[in-house]
Amino acid sequence: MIRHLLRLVWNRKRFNFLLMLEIFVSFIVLFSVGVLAEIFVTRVKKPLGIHYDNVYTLGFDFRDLESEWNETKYNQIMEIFDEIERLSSVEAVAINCPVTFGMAVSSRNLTYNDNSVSSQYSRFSDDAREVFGIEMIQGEWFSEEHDALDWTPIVINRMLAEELFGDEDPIGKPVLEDGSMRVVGVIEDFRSSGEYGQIKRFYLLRQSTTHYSSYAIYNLVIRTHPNPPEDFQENVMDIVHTVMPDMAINIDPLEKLKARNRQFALVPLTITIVIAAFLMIMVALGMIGVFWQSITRRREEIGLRRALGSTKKTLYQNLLMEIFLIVNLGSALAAIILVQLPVIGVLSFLSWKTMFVALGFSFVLIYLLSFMSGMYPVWLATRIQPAEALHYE
Amino acid sequence: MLKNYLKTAWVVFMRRKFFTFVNLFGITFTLAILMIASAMLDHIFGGTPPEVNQRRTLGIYRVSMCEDSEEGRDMGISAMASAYMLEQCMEDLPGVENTSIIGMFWQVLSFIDNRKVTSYLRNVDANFWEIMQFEFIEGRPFTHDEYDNGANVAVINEATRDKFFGNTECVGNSFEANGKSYRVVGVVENVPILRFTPFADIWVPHTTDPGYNQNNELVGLYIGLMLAESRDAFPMIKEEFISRVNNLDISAYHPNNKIISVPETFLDNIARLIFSFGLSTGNFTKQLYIAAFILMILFMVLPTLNMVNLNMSRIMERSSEIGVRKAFGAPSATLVGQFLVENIVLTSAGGLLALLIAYVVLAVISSTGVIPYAQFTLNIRIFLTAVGIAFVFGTFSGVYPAWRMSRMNPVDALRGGAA
Repeated sequence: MIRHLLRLVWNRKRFNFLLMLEIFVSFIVLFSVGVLAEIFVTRVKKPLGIHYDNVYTLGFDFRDLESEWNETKYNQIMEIFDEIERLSSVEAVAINCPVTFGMAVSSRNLTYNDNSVSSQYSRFSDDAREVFGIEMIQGEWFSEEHDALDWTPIVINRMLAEELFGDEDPIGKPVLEDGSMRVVGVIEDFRSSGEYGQIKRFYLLRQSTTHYSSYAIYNLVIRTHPNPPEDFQENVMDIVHTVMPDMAINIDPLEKLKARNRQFALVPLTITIVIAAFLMIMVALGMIGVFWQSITRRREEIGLRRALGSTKKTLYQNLLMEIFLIVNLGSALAAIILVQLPVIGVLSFLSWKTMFVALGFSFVLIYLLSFMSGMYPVWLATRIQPAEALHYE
Repeated sequence: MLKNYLKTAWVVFMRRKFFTFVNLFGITFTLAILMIASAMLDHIFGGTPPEVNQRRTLGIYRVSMCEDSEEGRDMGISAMASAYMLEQCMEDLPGVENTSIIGMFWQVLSFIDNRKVTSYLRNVDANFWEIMQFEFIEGRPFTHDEYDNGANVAVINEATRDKFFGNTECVGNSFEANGKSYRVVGVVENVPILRFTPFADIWVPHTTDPGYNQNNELVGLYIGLMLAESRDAFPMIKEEFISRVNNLDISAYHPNNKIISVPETFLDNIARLIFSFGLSTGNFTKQLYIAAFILMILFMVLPTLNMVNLNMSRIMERSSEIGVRKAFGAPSATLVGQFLVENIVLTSAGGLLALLIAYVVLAVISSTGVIPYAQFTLNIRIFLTAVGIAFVFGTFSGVYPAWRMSRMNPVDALRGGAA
């Protein structure tokens, strides 16, 4: 049966080859969309481990942070910190630099037992847990007792814990060769670019609020009561300008920073999906035309088959099978080539799971597509009356 | 002859309306996407007001510090220039008519009746208004005197005027931004955010900023603009500027450091960033064009294949016509020519439709305000690009089917064609 179909396909090889090539390219287009979609869905499903509703960020625009940062600035910012904390609508204030969901990132290399990875980080003061509602999955959060330590405590996210320590318990382990930074806790897959951002290794570094340090404080985060008064943001600005008259600042709900990140992530995805959808509609319409035409041209053959006893049903199945054969050849070829990609190192960021989900997605869609465009022309073919078709000959 | 071809084309198109529709759908959609993309790129890089002198302007957009070692070049700092560095290197350059130092735009806050208003403020000098030609709705740019005296004056755009003063005349009135008060001297038309060099909501003099040019750092947050006497002077200006940059004292950063900064157009700057991460002084714009061309071809692969397949089907259907013509002695070249003409007619029609669709889509994108102040329009440059693309598209998707057609054996063709 298959051999017979193969011969039929082979007899029209030039024509079918072009069709196969079109399926091949369509498959690759669908695969790319599948990969993107899989990556996004996986990300969105992972918990963030923090809560950001009713949280505002207050950023200080230093012109040149390194040369301007000194003890006076530190005292001024701590004064602002205390003033804001006294506002009746404020529940908690903390230091967080660079700000969560913001554009800036810091990163550094961490080492444990010859295992070295680079990780992003941000500084958080003790109150940050209250501001962000951070949920620990292991260990403890920062506390004032940590002031007495001669090393800096850090809290790491799940991904960093898995990649740096594997199966070992990370609590209490040093992450630098000189032991000056140690893990005290683990949180969920926190990511500073929001739910839609790539999951990256991340750690939270403790910033003390009791004394001056050379690490500049340029961002505060503020948790307010559910409905802060209308002039809340203006009040904050006034507080800042009373203490530091020339300081340029930004006040924004964290929700807004997150919405911006979401937009950055979703706009390219939407454009890709819209373009791919149009391409697929075009391919489907094109295939309807091509199949239709090829059925019209094969009237005599189909008439003869009917005359020799082929039922409508078997004819229908045979013709659809022929289409599926071409589709399978095209997509299998594409799939074989795509599976090689991670092996030879191109697109090595693709996990096998993503790969297979995307391949499955493309196969299902391409079958659906070819079935839908083949259905009508093939049905037309089964309506051909043998006498009429043979008469035409 | 051509008239006959066109007539035949019309009959063929109308006989199989479904095929014609599918063909047109593919062409129109493909060309519309390409037109929208080129309109957006033109919006970012093309020389529309206020950048009317763009063809004669060079900018210093980036300063890179890198370290040369045996393994090659390592990136150190990649940032913008400081005012100090720009003043050192841009002063009295030969072939330069005018220079300007402009700051990077940054967010400022104001409160109007408890409502927060965020605007983008940019510090500029007085020459900025001479190099850029803004359309003033009212008032004027700030003068050199006002600049030198450090007057708290500002030029604002239309949108900012509407936010602060309502839709009324406002020259002479004051407003507050970041707790500082500025007096409006002029109102200009909105400049889209994608026009990186001139964009802002509020433009104020550097002299209102106490921290301006106070130290001898080489990196900062400033862009230098140089208006050349003519484009012929560009190579000379670049050479002189780069030699001045090489003479800067950079021992404060690292003894092995090399500092790289090149006068270039914004497009050159982007190309240099993409292809050399700013580590080379070469020009990479050609590579950028080639990359864009390859992307375009990749995008067109599927539509072209689709069209080739449809054309093949159409030719099969017309095999008896082709057989007759061949039997009566029509040479292959004539048949190929006829088919190509038909195909190009179809793509051109698709091109016109695409132009219409692109126009509507761009108008919708502009009106939603997703991109602040963006006014995407179609112009003659984009139109010509579109015509070019449509022609290439029509030829490519027609050549293979036409060639197959011309090789058809007349006897087979008359019988109904061989597969």
